[in-house]
Amino acid sequence: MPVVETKKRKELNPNQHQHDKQEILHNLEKEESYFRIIAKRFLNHKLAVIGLIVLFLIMLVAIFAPFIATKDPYQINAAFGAPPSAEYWLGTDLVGRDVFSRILYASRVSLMVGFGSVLIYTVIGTIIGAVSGYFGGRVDMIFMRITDVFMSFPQLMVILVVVSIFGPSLLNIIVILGVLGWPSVARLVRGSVLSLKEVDFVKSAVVLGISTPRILFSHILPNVMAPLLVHATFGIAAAIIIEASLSYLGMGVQPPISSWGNMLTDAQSITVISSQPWLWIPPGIMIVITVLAINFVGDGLRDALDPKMTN
Amino acid sequence: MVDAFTVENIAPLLRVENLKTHYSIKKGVFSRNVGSIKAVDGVDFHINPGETLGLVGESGCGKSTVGKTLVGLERATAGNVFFDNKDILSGSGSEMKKVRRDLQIIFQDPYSSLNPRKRVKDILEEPIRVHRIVEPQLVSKRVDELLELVGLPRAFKNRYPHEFSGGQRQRIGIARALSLNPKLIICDEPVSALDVSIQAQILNLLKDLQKELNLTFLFIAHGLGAVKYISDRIAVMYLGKIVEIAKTEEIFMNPQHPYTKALLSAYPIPNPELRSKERIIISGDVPNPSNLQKGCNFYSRCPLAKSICRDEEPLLKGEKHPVACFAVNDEKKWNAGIRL
Amino acid sequence: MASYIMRRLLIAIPVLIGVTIFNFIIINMAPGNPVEMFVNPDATPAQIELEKERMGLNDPMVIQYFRWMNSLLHGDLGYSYSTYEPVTQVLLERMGPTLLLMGLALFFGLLIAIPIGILSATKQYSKLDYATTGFSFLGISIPHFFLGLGAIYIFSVQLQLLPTGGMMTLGSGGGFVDRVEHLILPVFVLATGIAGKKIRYVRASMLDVLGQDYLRTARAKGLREFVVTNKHALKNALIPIITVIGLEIPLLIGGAVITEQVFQWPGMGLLTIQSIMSRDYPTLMAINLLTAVIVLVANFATDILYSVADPRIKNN
Repeated sequence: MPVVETKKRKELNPNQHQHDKQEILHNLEKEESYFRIIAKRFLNHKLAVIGLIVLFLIMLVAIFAPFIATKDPYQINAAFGAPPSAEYWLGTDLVGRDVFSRILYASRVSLMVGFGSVLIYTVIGTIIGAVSGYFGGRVDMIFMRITDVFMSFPQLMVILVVVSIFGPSLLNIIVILGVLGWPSVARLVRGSVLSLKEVDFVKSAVVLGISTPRILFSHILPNVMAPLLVHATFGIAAAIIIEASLSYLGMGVQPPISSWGNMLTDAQSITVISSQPWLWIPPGIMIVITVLAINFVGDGLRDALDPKMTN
Repeated sequence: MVDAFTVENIAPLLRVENLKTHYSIKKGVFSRNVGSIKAVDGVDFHINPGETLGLVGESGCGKSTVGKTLVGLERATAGNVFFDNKDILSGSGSEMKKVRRDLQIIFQDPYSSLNPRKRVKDILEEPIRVHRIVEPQLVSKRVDELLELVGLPRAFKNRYPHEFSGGQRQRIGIARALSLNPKLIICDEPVSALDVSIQAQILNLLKDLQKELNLTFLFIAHGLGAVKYISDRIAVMYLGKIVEIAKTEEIFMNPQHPYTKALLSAYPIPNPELRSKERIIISGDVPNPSNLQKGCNFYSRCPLAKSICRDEEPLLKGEKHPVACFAVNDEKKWNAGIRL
Repeated sequence: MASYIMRRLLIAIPVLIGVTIFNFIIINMAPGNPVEMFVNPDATPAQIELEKERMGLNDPMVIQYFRWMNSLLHGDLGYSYSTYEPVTQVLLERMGPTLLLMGLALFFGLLIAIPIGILSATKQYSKLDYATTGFSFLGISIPHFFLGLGAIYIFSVQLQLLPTGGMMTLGSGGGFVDRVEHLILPVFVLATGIAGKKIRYVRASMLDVLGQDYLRTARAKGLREFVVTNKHALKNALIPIITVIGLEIPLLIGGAVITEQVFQWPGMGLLTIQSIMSRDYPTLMAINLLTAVIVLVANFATDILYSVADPRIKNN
């Protein structure tokens, strides 16, 4: 990326780091760990805090959906496409199911796809990127060319084609997104590993005779976690949008299971758009709120973990 | 310091013979090798047990590469390195790994040399645990001992590197290098990133540790100040080659190579009475190490250069005070050169 | 420079070959085969087997791959399973509308993003900056299909200002105004996504440049802030912005698929959806291959453009 990040290492300025004894004693009492500093910086980012709270609420809704839902989301009721009422808070869909309850249950799908697929591809990408970056040479060359191949296909296109071959279902969507998403993670990890490999503390571990896997997992990868976490957070938001888009097209999660995306499928008809807005506006808004919340959290994490903002 | 007279009778702990470390330069469409940078180009020296050898030269002369090659961070292109009478360049396997533990390094930059994510305790415990230096239940005690050795309070072990000053970090780095009970430590400019006031403390610490633990040091530095204070002998390096080795006082009192003389001229001596009146200021730039001409590497900058220097490479010659220079005994030219 | 271009080209070739292999593997994972598509449904298994043999479908995969590559290089992408037309011809028909849509979206997206991003950076932490950040996050977070449906609901259904979809009003012959009216909503949807992404980027790039020492020097010389921002900073901030446009292409193509579906815009995106619904794999593969090549070319152009614009790259 052209906006080049300045080098991580703090500038050498011995004067700045010189403490006298009293200061040392004072510091002993403070004992501020790395995580507390990060947490403090994150909490200063108001939108990120709001995002985190909203995300937390959505998670609660997903977990406790059966207790919050006013109706059975699969139950077909008498009224088809009925407008909102005391009985059906957000009306019913074209088959007569309660829209409000379906929206609650759909949050499970979005979060499962978001977290599940990102977890899969982050693990795959981290392993490939770490091996590629640490060992370099021919292995690196081959892995990077494969990454180039994967990244040449517009993601949504490949996903659509692969889904059409393996069939649309919740599990398939998670696996396919998970298996296809790794290249960007691999690139990120490889870049970090390449630069960390040259840092003295890693060289010191080599001289101390620490084994290569241990150096990789215990010394290098923990230092890659920060950018990885930020990348994964934005990745969750992206995966939720992709699932919603696929489900909207009918290539994602299939009814009767509800997903915010497939609840909008009916809105492909102009009559639904114009005369039954309760069918498509609420689930659409839920997508926007969830994705927005996660993106804000990601932005907050990025600012909090940015090595440039150390002081 | 070891008594100068006994030194020569002891078998050296480290013997380096014709060590070369070259980096290839890749260029063009197919990344072909178009040449090489001869960072270390045929270096010979030895270090006796308990001794400190200072290795000086300006940046880019290859002195750090020598250190990194010795600890295995760079791959040697040619040559032999005998450590404890074992050839550590050609050997491999678990036996060699064990030998290599006795050879440790202290880095220049105390900021990048400590993992920011690990507490002091973890940094020091890991090598001890991995190599089972002591029984598992004694690891923590060993860490306390190490901290005490380098003059840091035990309480520091639960803290992260960012909480320390440069000098304290360097002490942690030294403790880490000591964790495997090494015989030889390569000190790669260990004080040049520190404040002058702190430099003396660290140098004293190293000297004390040497006495207490019977350590041997290869002390790499770009200036003569710290090296003079800590070294028994000094080797001067220029463009991948050692140009002169002698006992510290010899180097200071009776420098032979014009490059050493130039380095000494740049070294401030506090007492004006002792300042030598001769002053050599070398002009010109260091030649590009990827494109060296035949002959003496110092030829283009040398005030004493003569025709043989352009055509032939001077070898390091001499028993007590080896020098690599054709003009060494050339009194007339020598004096003429100084008057320049 | 020439050596750099050559090097990038040589890296692109194995990637291109990898793309075709990947594509070919996916084709072969797809259920069904061309024979079942083209042969008379009453054909006996023996007849089908004979036809498969004749079409070379029983040959080893490697041979099939090279045969496929060979026809690919001759511009033959096979026949559509659903319309029986040559895929090449179908693609050519659909490419125009998509390029028009994407080009306009890119243009308007940047037209919004660049000035707003710059303003946002020069007035960092102002109300305007926060509003801009909010808008850009919204732009990133709204799925294209929802924004599209919302736009149709407001502008077509409620206000009755614009058509709901298609490229022109049926039977009208499609005058200029009619065409433009049909373009507005889909371009708006795609451009919003681009602007949302780009505003943050422009802002970051501009902030980066504004913090540089040479700008402090420019100010110290006594240049007016307006000149400093618009002459000295802008030029350097725009280099990374303009040059990475190529990297937007994959996302833009993904966005186009959804947007074309929402607005029934007869481009490659809609063709993709239609091909998926009808399991028209030859068409699908051709689209995939074509988009991959477009992405590769865009990346290549980006690299070259960037190395031309930034003299620091050339030396490495």
